[in-house]
Amino acid sequence: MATVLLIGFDSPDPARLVTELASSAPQHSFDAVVGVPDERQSGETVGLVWCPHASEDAAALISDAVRAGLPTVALLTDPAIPAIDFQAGHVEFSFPPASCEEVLNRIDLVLARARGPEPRNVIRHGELVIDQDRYEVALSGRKVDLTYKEYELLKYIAARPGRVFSREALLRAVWDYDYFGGTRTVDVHVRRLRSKINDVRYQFIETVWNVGYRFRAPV
Amino acid sequence: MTQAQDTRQRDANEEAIRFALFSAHEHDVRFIRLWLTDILGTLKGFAITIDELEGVLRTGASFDGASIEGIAREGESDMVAMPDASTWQILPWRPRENSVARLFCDIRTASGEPAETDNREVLRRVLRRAGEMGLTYYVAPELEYFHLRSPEDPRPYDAGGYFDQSSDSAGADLRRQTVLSLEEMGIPVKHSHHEVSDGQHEIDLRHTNALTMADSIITFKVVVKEIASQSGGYVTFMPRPFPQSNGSGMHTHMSLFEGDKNAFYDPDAPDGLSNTARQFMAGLIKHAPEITAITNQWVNSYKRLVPGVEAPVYANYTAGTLAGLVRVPAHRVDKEDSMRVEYRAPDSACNPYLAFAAILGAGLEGIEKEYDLGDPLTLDPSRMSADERRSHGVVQLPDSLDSALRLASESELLHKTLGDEVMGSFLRNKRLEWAEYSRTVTDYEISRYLKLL
Repeated sequence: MATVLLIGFDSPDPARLVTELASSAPQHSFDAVVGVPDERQSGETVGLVWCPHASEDAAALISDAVRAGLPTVALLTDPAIPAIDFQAGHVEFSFPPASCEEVLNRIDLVLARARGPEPRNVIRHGELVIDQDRYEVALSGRKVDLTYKEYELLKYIAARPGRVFSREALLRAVWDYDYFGGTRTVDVHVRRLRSKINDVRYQFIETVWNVGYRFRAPV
Repeated sequence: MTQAQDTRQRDANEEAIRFALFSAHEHDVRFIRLWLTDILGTLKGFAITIDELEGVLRTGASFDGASIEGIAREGESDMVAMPDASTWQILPWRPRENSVARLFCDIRTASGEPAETDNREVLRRVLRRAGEMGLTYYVAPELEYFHLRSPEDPRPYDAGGYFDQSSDSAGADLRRQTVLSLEEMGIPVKHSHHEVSDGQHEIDLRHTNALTMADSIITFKVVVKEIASQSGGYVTFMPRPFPQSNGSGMHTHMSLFEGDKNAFYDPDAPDGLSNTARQFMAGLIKHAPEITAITNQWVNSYKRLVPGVEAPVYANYTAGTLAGLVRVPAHRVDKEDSMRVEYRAPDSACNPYLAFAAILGAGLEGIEKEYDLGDPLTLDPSRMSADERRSHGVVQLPDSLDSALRLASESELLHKTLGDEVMGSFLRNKRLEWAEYSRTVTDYEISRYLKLL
């Protein structure tokens, strides 16, 4: 769901943690960077700062990350929390021995705080965000142009993940009473939707053989 | 319509309107083109600014209804163009900032009733009739066209051949660009290839309901011409622009479904054809001569419907590779959905709304009156003598616009299917065209007669 920038990971010590994180959170991508990047990152980004020894370096890295507008999780070995301006942004701290679950939870926590309160009319499934107030769909932070009916169909099934719908039911729910296409229309729209909202790693709309379709929410 | 359905439809329309308004804002749309088609299927329309969009989406825009009467215009009439909000579409070839969008419109009278002569409404009426019989009509046209250097220099843009994939074909690049634009506009393409003649291309659209498809064909023509003109070329859908080349047809594949079930398919029939399919085909064949004026509406259309250029000349049904008027394309035994019927008369310059209405009307007539199809012809009727054709019951399609119009004007089926007002307007237009053509002294006459006589 987000890009996690690994900042200051220069010691071999956390290598095991990183491997563990990457394998238990395949929805995030983990990128090692040197220092805090200047430009604003596209899509959702979290800074994960690790600075095991010099706590002054740690303070500087965390401050840089926060000032760059990155929601930040800091892994510290020194229990003294460095002096940084907490007003400037969203920071979470974690101390050894920090488990993989704890770090992931803190990543989700800063992300959620950075997003602010979820608008009421947003359907969010992993990388896919459907903003019903603005009639917009985004995948991995990138806008997806849908026709009206594609949008309506996606909105309808994404709001009811896991439920299996027959073509007939989808047709009744999404198309007008006075519509002249039959259930094959649903197939054509699903085909087009898939081509627009699929990334190679994930298929949101699943065909349920001989029945219809189901929206599969990412775990 | 029940009150609940009425309310639901109003809500759905409101949602579509809001979708369009948000999209307009998001894409910084300044102008919106309201699209209409005239009696001959030519795209007409006018533009409104973004400030007017919301009002027009809710209450429509007045315009002069005479603009859609073709060349047989009489006076002025106040009509209302009522946008179909669900057809909202940004035109992808326009600049991304200050984008332009289009909306298809229904045509209403000043008092708000659907106009008798609205193409979309005419087709809707026939689709409703099929709906009452429990049937959904799907169509998938194969659109052919010529890609030329310019109207002034109408030489082919490329020199490819049938299914050529060679990289030197400049036309192939443009075809790819066209297909991408179509997909972007929600028009799925099944297949595209270079056709037989130099500069001739074919794009096959994936099946959908006939009303959406007719809208798509109108959009298709705009997209193809637009993409061609961007590269300095020109596209024509003229049915037979060059005497030495094949014409451009619009072979139309079609099927009827009852819910999820293909009504054309019968697993127990040796050829897989259901009774419904056979009656539908019999309807097509019986009424083909009278509906040809609608599916092939120009003087030039009849330069295509001649022997020797892979176009139908006789109203027949053929099996196998013989290309008759009605054909059952090979279908996969394991895919009953692919069982369909191909009607090969229409050309790409038809009015797709009226053409689909007439074709479906003919097919439904066959089902309602339980016409008998008989066996497919196994011989090419153009190789038969006139006597043989008569004994096989093979009827010829009209060979000129004039004879097609005579059959159309007497056709009960067409008057019933398209309505008297549409037929009146259509025939007035076409008789004018024929009269004009008849008065023309052609190159043929000059070269042949001037010195001789």
